[in-house]
This record gives sequence, C-alpha cells and structure tokens, in this order.
Amino acid sequence: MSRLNPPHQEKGYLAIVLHAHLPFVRHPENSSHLEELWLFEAITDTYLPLLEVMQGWVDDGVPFRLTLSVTPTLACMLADPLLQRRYVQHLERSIALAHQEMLRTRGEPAFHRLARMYRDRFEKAREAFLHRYRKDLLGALAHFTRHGLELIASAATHALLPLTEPYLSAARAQIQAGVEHHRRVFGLDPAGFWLPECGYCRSLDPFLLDQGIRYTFTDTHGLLHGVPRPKYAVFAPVYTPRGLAVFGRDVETSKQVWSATEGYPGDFDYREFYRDIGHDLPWEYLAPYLPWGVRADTGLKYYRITGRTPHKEPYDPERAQWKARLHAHNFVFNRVHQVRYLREHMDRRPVVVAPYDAELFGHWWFEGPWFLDEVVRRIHEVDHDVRLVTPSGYLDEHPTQQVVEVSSSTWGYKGYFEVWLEGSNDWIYRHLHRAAERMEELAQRFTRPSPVEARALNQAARELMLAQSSDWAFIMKTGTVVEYAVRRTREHLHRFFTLADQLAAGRVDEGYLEELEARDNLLPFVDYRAFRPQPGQPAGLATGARI
Amino acid sequence: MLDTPSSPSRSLSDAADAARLIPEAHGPGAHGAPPLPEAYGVPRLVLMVKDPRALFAYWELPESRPGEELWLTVHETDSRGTVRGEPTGRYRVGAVGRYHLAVPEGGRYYRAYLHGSGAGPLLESNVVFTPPGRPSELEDAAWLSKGELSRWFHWQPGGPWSPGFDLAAVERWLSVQRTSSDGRFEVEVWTR
Repeated sequence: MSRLNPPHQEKGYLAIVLHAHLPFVRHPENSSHLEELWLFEAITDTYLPLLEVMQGWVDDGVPFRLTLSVTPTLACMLADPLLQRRYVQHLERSIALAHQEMLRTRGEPAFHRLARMYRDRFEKAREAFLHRYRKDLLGALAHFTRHGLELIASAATHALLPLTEPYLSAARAQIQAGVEHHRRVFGLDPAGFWLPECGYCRSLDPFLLDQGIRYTFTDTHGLLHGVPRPKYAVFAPVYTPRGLAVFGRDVETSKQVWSATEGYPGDFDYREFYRDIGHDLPWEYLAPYLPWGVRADTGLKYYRITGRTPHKEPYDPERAQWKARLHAHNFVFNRVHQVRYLREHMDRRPVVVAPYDAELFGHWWFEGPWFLDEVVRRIHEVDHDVRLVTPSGYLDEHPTQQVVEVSSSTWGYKGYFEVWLEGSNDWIYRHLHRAAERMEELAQRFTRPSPVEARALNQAARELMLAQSSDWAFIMKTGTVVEYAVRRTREHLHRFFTLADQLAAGRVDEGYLEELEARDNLLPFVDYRAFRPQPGQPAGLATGARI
Repeated sequence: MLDTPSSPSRSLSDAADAARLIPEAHGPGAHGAPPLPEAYGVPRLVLMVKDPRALFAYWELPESRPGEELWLTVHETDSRGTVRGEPTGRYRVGAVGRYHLAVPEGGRYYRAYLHGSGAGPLLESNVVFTPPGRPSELEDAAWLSKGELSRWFHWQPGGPWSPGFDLAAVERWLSVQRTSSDGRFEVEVWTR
C-alpha cells in the first residue's frame, strides 16, 4: 500500500517547493545572443535532470509529492520553436567541444574522464530533449502531475507585485495573465501561486482569490510578523482575513540548502561553479564553440570547490555523488528530528515548508538533483516519521487555520523591498507606474477595439509586463549585466509608450506592431482588459494628484 | 525641470537625518536604448514601502513657479489617510525628484505631501502601510475553516471590497474578543 495514504502515523510533513523561472531572454534579432545561454544552461542542468529524477521515482514506485511553479516567461521560452532550435544547436556545439576536450586531455586522466562525462551528459540531454520529450518539456512536466507533482502558477513576467502599488491593476493583470497562461499550457486550474521573490502584500489577496487560488507562500517573517502572532509560527499555514492560505518558509531547511557557506552546496567535494574552461582555455581554441564572440561558460567545469583558496583540485563525480547522498540523509534526519520536536509542542502535525529556486538544483548546485532524488527516496524507504506533502494535500487534511493578517515581505536581502528599490534601480518606478496608469486608461477607453487595436492593446500589455520583470531591478542591484537590464527596461517601456501613443492617436502602425509581436511573442493569451479597474476599486492613484 | 536636492533643509527628527537624498536621473548610462523622459508632465506624488522603517517617494510638479521653495513632508495617518499629528520628516526638494525616507516605526500608515509657499499642500500621496517588522503582541484569536472564514468575512460591513476592511477591521474584531473574555483572548473561538 502506498505510504501516501497511511493511517497518519507520521509526526509531520515536508513540503518541497521549487520555483522555476527565467526572464524572457528570446532575441530573434540576433543569430546568437549571450543571454539565451541562461535558458540553455538551465534546460541541461536543471529541467532535464529534474524530469529524469521524477521519472526515476515513477519507475521505481517511489511515491512523491513535489510542488513546482513554472513562470509564464520560462514556459513561453520552453515552448518557443526558435529557442528550441537554438538549444539543439547549442547542444551540438557543446558535444563537439566535449569531444575536442577528450582529445586535448588524453594525457590527463583526471580531466579526460570529466570531458567524457560531459560528452555523455550533453548527448543524453540531446536524446532526451529531441526524442524522449520531443522538445515538449512543459508536456513532460504536466505528465508528472498524475504522479505527485503539483504545478502552481506565478505572475506573468515575475513582477514584484507589491511594488506595482498604487497601480494595483498591474498586479491584478500579472496574476490573471499568469493563471490564465497556466490553465492554457498545462490544462489545469492551479491551486497555488508563487509570488515572485516571495513578495507579498495584503492588497494581492482579492486578485489571487478571484483566480481561484487557494494558497501562496511568504518568507518566514511574513508569517511571524503577522497579526495576531501565528500560534504555530511557520509550521502551519494561516488564512488571511480574506481566506487565502499562506505557508511560511522554514528557516532551517532554507539555510541548509541555500547558504553557499554554511549549506550543503558549499561542500569542498562539490563541483566548483566558477571554474569553467570557457574562461580558462585560450580564446583561439574556444572560439569555434562560442558564437557570441566573447568568453562565456561552456558547462565544462573540471574542478571541485576544494577549499576557500584559489587552489582547486579535479572534480570527482563519484565522491560528489556519495556526498550528495550523505547530505540528503542528513537533511532527512534533521527533518525527522524537527517534526518530532515540533509535534511534541503542537496539537497538530507540523508542516515544514522548503521553497527553493529550481535552478539551484543542477545549475548552481550541480549535485542538487542527486540530493533531491535521495531525499525523496530516503523518506519513502527509511524515515517514516516525516511525509512529503503538497500544500493542497495539507489543506485538504487540515482545513481549519488560524486567521492572521500576514505582513508584507519578500525573501530578498533584509526581507523586504530594498533589493528592488534602492539607489541603482529606484529610477524605474516613475516610468513603470506611468506606463501602468496609461495602460489602465487605454483599457478603459477601448471597450470595442478594432482587431488591430486589440492586437496593439495586448502587445502594449506584453511590453509593460516585460518591463515589470523583477529580474531587471535585481540585476541592476547586483551589478552583473547591468547594461542589459537597463536596456531591456528602457526598450520595453519605449515600445509600450510608442504603442500607447499610436492607440491614443488612432493610428496604429501595423508594421511596427507586427515587428513587436514577432520579437516579444510571449503570453499569447494575454488580455489587456485585465488592466481595467474593477467596480469599487479606484483607477490608478486613489490620491496622489494635485489637490 | 531638474531636481535640486544637494543642500536640503531638514527637520530635526531622526527620520530626516536618516533620509537618503538622490539626484533625479533616468538610471545609469544610455546603453543605446531609447531615452526615457525625466518627467511626464503629470502632477503626482507617489509613496512606496521599502521596509518597516523606510519609504520611497517620487514626484513631479509640472507647474511650479521658478524659485518657489518646495517641501516634502511625511505624516503618520490612520487607515483612511487622515493625518495624525506633526510630520515625521520634512525635506526641501525640487519640482521633480525622488527620495528615500526613514520613518520612525513599522506597522503604521503614512502619507506624504508636497508644499509650496502657500497655505495648503500642492500634492498629496497615496497612503501606505509599513510592515510591522516585529512579532505581534496579539495571540491566538480566530481559528476557522475556509467556509467559516468566508461566512465571517461577508458579515463585515462593506464586504470584501470595502476600503476600510483591513488590519483595522481585524484589530477591531480582536478587541471584541478580548473584551468578551475579561481581558483574555478567546482561544480557538470557532474551531471545527
């Protein structure tokens, strides 16, 4: 009998939640664009391995419960024929480079076997992508919803929704478009919603509930600073006064996996992410494999973390895999003790909520998929005091919750909005808000648009939503590819305002519109009417104008 | 119109001393992307929450008179935006700008105003609510199923879209619970 329906002998639950997201980095204007590499790496490193791990659980009869959000920007890129074609080309180059590396490292056994490992890995990825999944990774994910995967929705373009205030129609449109996209792509009504950056404010409740969302997540202090104080801290969800269930992130599980210094991913036996041959070998040698004309990661990384100095030793995959198993057992051991302790102090079974960026597993933390695989298997085979659960499953079993007004919060540095609202990026909000205000005006004005006007209105909505992606403000803050983030913000705003001006003037340039539709072709189901203020809700600023 | 925040006058509050003053700009460098305007010619003052003790404001006053002194003030308010007491911060500003502002306490409502030389304010902002930044002193109270919560919710005056239905409504309800049990909270008032 499956342990998923046991007579409730376990002490508590573990809810693993993965958030899969990449900003929309499709660039048809160039034959190769460096930022598209973000998607290609994530497919090879994270999404394909994750599918493989789930298939392994199904094949071996391991019951699992896993919650996964896939943002519409990522979903649109995964389904895009141009990017699919370019991904295969990227894999071909990677395989060719790995072959070349096997030749180059013939006299160095420690590196030669790694080159072979990467060749096998890339060939396996190509086989899985082209033949097993027939390029349809979204369909592959949907398949696992019959086996324990719960897919949940997220905002259309990963806007940090609380920062759309006071133009809340923008938040509503992001949520509505995100949920609608989920329904169309996966054929499922999502029960849960991942708030980008875990960014919560209470104004979002009605928009989520209107879309049939039952639950969402906040960071730990979102719950702990709620009013009244939650009796069970983050080990049980709460209902907001409007009826949205909110689960809080557990600190301990977060630290064990997230922290690069204290957490598992920083173990010295794990693969060193920052040593890639794309930056180590002569440019003349690499150039045929790097079509961007600049150095970039190739995915061939030969060293383990080794220590805190620049000295690095060759990576040992077998040892790393053994260490991942060890860490998985330690993780489950800690969860068992955690829920046993909590159960002694709670009059219901505690739920430990462990949300992570999906791309942590495999991309940033190469051994992450092995770790995840072993955690699930260990819970199934050995440690029956803890049971895997999805938030929906938990709510079905425990329908009564404390009513708490949850605090605004994010999972960013310091727990609030500073990462996305500080000196490097605060200039964007004047423009984003003005664009949202104009979108509201257009949505109200065009009640019966012509077919061309309707297309222009929907494209304007896409451009605004693209400008709202939290990724751009985050990049400006972290200083990685600032120029790209600034350019993307400005370009989408410029395209939005151009379309808005054309609509206002009654002269939509169809050629320009077609160009934008071909370039920024995400969210095919977007509906500009989502920006219309609802009855009882003020348009734009309730106040804030001249008095 | 350019902002002139280089030597702002400030009130003597800690909040004002902690404010970070930033010249108006459109972000770093041109990067080949189309430029964005410095302002849109629409009068507005917008307040945003940064953390429990920090806000961000941006504004523009297209029709300000040259040389007119402009002041930005920040006030604590009730949930409906009615000002309570003296400003928590006062800053001399330009006609277009953006500031990061410290406020004294989390879990409070705030509103900003832009004043000129006349008697009344020229612009008023939206009302924002800062996160508490600390655990609540209130404990327990209601334990409800989704159905029970829905019924309770719709008993509230104004229903789900009532602008007054927010933390204040919860607090009022909690205070009723407190009163009804001789100063102690009702635990699990409506459990299944």
